[in-house]
Amino acid sequence: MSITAQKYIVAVLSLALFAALVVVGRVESKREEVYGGKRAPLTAASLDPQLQRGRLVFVKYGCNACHGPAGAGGIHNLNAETGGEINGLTKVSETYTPAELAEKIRTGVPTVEKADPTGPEPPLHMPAYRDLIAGQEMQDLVAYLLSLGAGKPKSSSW
Amino acid sequence: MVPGWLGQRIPISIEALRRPLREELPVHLRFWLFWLGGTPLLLFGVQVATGILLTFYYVPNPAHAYDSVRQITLVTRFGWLIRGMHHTASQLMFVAVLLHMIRVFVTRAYRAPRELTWVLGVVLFLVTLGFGFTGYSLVYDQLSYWATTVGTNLIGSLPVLGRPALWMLRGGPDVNPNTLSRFYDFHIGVLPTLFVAVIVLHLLLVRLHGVARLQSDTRKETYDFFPDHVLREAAIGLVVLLALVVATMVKPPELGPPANPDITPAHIRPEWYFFPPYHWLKMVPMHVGIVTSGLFVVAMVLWPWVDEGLERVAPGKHLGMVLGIAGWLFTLVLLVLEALS
Amino acid sequence: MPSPQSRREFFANVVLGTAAALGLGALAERMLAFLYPVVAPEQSVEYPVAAAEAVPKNGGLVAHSPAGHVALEDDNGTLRAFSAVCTHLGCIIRWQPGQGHVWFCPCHHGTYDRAGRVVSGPPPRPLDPLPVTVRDGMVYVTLRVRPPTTLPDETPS
Repeated sequence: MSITAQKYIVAVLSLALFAALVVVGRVESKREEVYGGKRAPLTAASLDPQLQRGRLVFVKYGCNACHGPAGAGGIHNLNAETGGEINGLTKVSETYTPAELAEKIRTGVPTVEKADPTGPEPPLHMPAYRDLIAGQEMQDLVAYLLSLGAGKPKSSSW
Repeated sequence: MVPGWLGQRIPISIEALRRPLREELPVHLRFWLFWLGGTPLLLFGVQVATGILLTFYYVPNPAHAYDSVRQITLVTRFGWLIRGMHHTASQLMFVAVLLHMIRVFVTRAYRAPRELTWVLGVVLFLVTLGFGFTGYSLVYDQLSYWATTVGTNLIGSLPVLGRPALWMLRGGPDVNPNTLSRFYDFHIGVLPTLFVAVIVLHLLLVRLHGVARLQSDTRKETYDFFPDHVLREAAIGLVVLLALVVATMVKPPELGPPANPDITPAHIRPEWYFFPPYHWLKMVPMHVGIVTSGLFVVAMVLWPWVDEGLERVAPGKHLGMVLGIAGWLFTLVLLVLEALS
Repeated sequence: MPSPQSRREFFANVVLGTAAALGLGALAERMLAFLYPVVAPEQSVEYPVAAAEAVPKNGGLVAHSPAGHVALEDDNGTLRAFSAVCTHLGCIIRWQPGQGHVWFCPCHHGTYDRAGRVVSGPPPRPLDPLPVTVRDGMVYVTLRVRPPTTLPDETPS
């Protein structure tokens, strides 16, 4: 087979590759359309005023510093029984009544259980907030915490 | 000399640069069977390219790995294509490597003085299996997680070396957060480096010896490296790329349910290229299975000498070819049995 | 006059070159597009950032919102809000009144006055003002935000 013929073969194959990639582009546009339709719009207006106040209480007393933004968790606590991390708060609505949650915040967690009994004491524990958070602030905070994770908005912030 | 400014700083003659292009290659290389060696190398190049792209988004942490793969597949531009090509190329790689091995075997190109080339080739094959095993574990869906657990447990049951090897692979006695990092590092660091080192030696030996020709082929004619051979290689490369792109469009990449260390799914199976040893180990008691599999691998590595020994013991009876083909067929039967079960 | 042979060769080369450029170019473009981050378009969102009484009379504070830091100041009853991001290189400014300025950036000592104008230091332009209102005793600021890239719920199959 002559060199020229070979060059044309390679050229045809290259064009075939190009054509295949054009079709790829079409498939990609389709995916982009479908995905774009699934993106949740970002809005803070979806929170009612009490939840908005509650969120400010959460930030004011530094709860996010240990429990993560919007209670997402992920902050390390060496040898803590809760998987070596401070627990997130997105599931509290499943395990606490409003009264229990308020009491938990007031009491704090003076000693954190060790994952490995022979290991070191977990360095971080939750202080008692009974002298700091009360009344309207406590109500708003509890309402906010109970709203976390429930019908999770697709966006991680709000 | 290379002219001017550049020539002063890169003191090499144009003639020396042009010489490799004018190399004369023996015409038997034009036969398509001899192209099967270059295809795995090409696919390796594809894997490196797509693999590097994937590392921009993949997160080797058990909490995020699965979601990062989902992100690649659903959110990024052309992520489905890149990931799909990476997966398809890995499948194609095994087909190409096996065809190449069969070609070398059937043409008995492993005989003296090319035994070392064969040995290095078997090492490459084992490294490729390593790539397949570690790569698959990174997706962190149920199949990933459990196939990795079972596979590493198997390694752990090897005598003497088993337990240290298992702990080394896992970064601990059990599967733990370090395990994924280790598998990731093997996949993108250790194995590629090893592969490149061995392939350089393998190719060096091939170049030094010349590609073995069939004994019956005594043609003396040659053809040019450039442009003839280069154009052939380009054509093959484009066909492979085309096949990868089209295959990925026809069958985009998927994901199973996310890894759950508490629930073993009803049907775990490794990838198809692990079916033969997997089925064998299901058929015979574990220790018998492991010992025989080990012997099989040793026989593969030492095949040139085994074949030579058989030839001396029974000259002209082609015992090596018979035994070898029996071995290939047995492997194929195991593969099919597992696929059908 | 170029021979028919060399003209044929030349033509073949041009065809090959163009085709190869198209094919490989398309591949390269797809790969680069993959790397370019998927970013959602900006939206204006209103965030509550502080209780109205938290802003000191004739003073200022930096408040935090999920979409960034906000500098709030009370100027004789007028409430103003700026982005608390220094226009120089992005550090967060502080309320630190001094000679002719009220806002101070610790990184390179840029300073701004009550209107957000640069008083001294390297910042190239004034602080970005933000729309601000007070409702039910709460300060709301409108911020330009990009939603984070979210993962759809489903699994590809």
